Amino acid sequence: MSDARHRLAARFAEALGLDPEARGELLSRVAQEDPDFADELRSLLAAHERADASGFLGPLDEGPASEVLRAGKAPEPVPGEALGRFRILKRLGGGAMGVVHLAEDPRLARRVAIKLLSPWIAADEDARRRFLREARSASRLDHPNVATVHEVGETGDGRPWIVMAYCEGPTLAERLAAGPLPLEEAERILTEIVSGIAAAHQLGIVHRDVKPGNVVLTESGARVLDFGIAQVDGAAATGAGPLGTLPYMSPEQTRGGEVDARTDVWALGAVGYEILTGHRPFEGPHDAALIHRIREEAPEPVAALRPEAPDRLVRVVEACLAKDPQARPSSATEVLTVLRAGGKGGDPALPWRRRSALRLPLLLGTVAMVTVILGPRAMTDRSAPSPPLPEVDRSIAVLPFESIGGGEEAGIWARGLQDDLLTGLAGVPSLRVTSRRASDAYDAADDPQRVARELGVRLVVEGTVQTLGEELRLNLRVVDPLAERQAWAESYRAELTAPGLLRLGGEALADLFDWLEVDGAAHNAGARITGPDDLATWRRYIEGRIHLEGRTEVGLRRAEEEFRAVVEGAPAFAEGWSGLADALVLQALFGYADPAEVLPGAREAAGRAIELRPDLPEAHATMGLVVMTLDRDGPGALWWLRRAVAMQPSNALAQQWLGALLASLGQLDEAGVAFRRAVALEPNAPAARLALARWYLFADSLDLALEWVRAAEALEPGGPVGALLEGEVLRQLGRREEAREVLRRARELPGVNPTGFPGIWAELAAVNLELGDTLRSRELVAEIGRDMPPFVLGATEAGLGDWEAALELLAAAPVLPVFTHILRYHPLFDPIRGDPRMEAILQRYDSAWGIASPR
Amino acid sequence: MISPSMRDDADDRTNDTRRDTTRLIREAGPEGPDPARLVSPVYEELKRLAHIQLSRERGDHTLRTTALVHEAWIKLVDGSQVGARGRAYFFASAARAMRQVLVDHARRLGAAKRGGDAVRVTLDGQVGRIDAYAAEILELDGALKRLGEIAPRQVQVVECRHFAGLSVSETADTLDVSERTVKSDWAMAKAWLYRELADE
Repeated sequence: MSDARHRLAARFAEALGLDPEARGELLSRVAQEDPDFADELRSLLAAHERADASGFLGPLDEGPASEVLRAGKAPEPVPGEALGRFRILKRLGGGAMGVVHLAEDPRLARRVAIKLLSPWIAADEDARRRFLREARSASRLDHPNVATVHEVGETGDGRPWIVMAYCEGPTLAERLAAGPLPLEEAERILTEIVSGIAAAHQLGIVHRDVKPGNVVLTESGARVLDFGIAQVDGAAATGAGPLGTLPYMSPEQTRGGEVDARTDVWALGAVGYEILTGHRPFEGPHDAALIHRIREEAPEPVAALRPEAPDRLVRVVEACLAKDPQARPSSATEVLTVLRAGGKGGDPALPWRRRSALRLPLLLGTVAMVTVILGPRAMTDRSAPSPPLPEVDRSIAVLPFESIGGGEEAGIWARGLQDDLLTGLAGVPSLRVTSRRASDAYDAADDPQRVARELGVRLVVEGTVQTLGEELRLNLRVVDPLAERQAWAESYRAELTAPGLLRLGGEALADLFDWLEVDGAAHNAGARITGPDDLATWRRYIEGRIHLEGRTEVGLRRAEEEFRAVVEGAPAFAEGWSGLADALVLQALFGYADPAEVLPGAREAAGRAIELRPDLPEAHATMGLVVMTLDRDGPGALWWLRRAVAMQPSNALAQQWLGALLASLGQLDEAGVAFRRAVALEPNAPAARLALARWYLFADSLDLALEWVRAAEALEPGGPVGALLEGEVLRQLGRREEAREVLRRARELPGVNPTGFPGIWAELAAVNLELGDTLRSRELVAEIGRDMPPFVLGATEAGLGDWEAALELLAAAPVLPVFTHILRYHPLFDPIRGDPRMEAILQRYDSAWGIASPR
Repeated sequence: MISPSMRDDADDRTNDTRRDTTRLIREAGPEGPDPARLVSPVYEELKRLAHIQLSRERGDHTLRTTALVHEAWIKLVDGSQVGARGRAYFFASAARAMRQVLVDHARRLGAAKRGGDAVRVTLDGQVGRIDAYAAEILELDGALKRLGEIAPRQVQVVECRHFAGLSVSETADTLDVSERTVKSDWAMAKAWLYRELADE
């Protein structure tokens, strides 16, 4: 690059970071020195603005590149230009949706704001129609606290625009940035906003994106902008993410769930909170953390931040922020009633409190309180109680289908059909489907109420399969245990051939989707049921799947054999390759085979599967695991696993692997989301509970860590991994006697020795030291011996508090990427975490994963 | 349905190529592997994968470039042997190859049209869109060549971001520059290209 070009690039980058006024100053300063240079700069800046407004060079993936590029040539109107009968005065702002211009309406001699939808969104026919419909519906709204929509129209080339009242004044966001509001003003503004939204709710209009940036403080009061527009934004994003503005988004919006007036009520609560305290109720260093807080955590009480705020206002705001929409006021009208009644003095009854008395704990948003309403649960051998996950969602379990007659044959097809339905349902983003392994603990004879309670699901699917000669019948039913009734049932029959079975599975899934009101995109998942061309191969495939689920060494070897036979007979059947990959990966994962030996084969098989069917989630998950364990390619593995869970949100294994990877790569918050999800998908899996418990230990939530590790041990008593973790957590809690007791017992468990579980000895040594028994502590360290990997010895020294020795050993130890998360987050290393030597050690681990250390 | 024998041929070829590309990257000097030698196999693989992705029977027919690049990486390189730098070299080449795939595709469409392909014309509606796409891609390619004369790194950023669909941080890793540099290069290149194409 030439010097001149360098100079231009530097000035260009500088100018982009400036607000329009400062930019103008910069340009005129430059123009004095070198007018030609200034012209070039100005021209580039203008081009940049147009390029951005039109989505020029957007990602190719999001649509036909032709439309992106064609849109690149449709420039925004410039000042002086006419748009319909309006004359553009200046550009007010722009966003993902389009650009807002200030314009003049010569006929009525008034100023208006015109929002011109971006050409990229306009190219999406559905989005365009919805935008027009919503805008027209919003134009019915005439209220002093709402920016009226005057007109709706389209440009010649089909770009919709809306003409709104131009509100002059700072936005509430700008006002809040200048400092907290006096209480009287705070109450007035909040009441005005609520009253504008209430007028909309009375007409059945939902705003969907209430936030301080959408409120203008005019001389005559607060005015809410942009009604019903957010929806179009989301539609254009084709489900790529939830819509709305993240810090003000409700828990259900972050899940991409149904949105109604109560979503606006949440946002009013969030805005009210900010008006009162000057802070947003939920903040986080990045989106994943923020989403986690919105869904799971209670905000800091208003009283703690602004003690003088009137109790009545505080309670209204906090009620609006109930996680469960049911527990919120039902609409802005209800909020307004309370606000106004309060304004006249007296403390009104909060009507929704009465209605949702049972849900009060949810209103407080604390996990511990939820336990209280759920009450003590029956202890069973199959499902020991777990701390509840505060998630109210659409959830379903598919129990193993019962087979009648036909012996083994019917059993195989029953299994295959159950698998098809599970896989189809698992791909629906709005559903939580518990894993195959979770429901395998039950059968049709089990009481659905108990199943639903133990797996934490709303609905239970049961099925009966019968083979009669050349015919197969499937009776399918959905039970709603809360209502104590059968909610839906249907019968299917098909010829016992490969195409017959395919059709039957597809039909059943499509009907189930209809009944569950699964939306269009996910509905296509019905078409995903595939099978090989002949029945014998298909049978082998199902048998392979059955062997896979047991996770035993013999079972996994058998599964591998079956799948090898399947891919030989039907090399174009993608699921066969995917099954083979799974069989190999699981053998490596459970220590039945050398990873270096089997994982390359797994990669090959998963690659084949993906090539044949690029939409096969399991193969993506497998690929992610291989890339993670074999290549230690952090970013690559992350890409595959994220894609796997995006395609199939209810894949418990993929979620767990993703969590482990994220923790290794230093993304703890997001890892927690994945681990939590894994537990919700496989509520009766000890491994998932242990992973979550360890995450809580890392995240410094020791009480929850203890709760979860005990929940895991209740499911599977006598496991050394669980006992060790419990000991670690107890010691961190300062409950040393208990820790010693737990660890002593762990040492006596069958199969436990210092070589296999040095951590137990190390922890016990550490706790003995803390209890003053130096001698015993030394003995235990001696039992570990010096032949252990240096990493283990380093961790032992850290436990004993000898930081110098620990740092020395760890610095000399070869990098063992599987321990990255321990090094990064275990409280064991807390005292040396800031040490430059420790930083250097972590940097070696980061580069082993192919990522840059946080700068 | 793919016959077993055809698969075997393809496998041998892929395995050989994989060994070769892995070695090419592993044995490269500090400047990285010779782009000319790396782009060619990557180009072939991307073309093949894109063909598979777009011609498969079920599902939508959109091109997912990021997926293609990741799949090509798995197919062509043994990641455990080349490390993070090798990965970066590969992705930079793949981004360039992806651009070439699209350009060639666009050129062929243009040629087919001049030849008066009857099927295309009857598909109405679709024709206009595809033709416009082809023309735009070729125009963009020409503009990128001109940009390459004055600011080659900006072209690489456009290849990574636009053609390979990489994120800002992935692009920064791939080109071994800071995220800030990626953002400013990207903004500057977009502005320049936009003006270049709008002027025509």
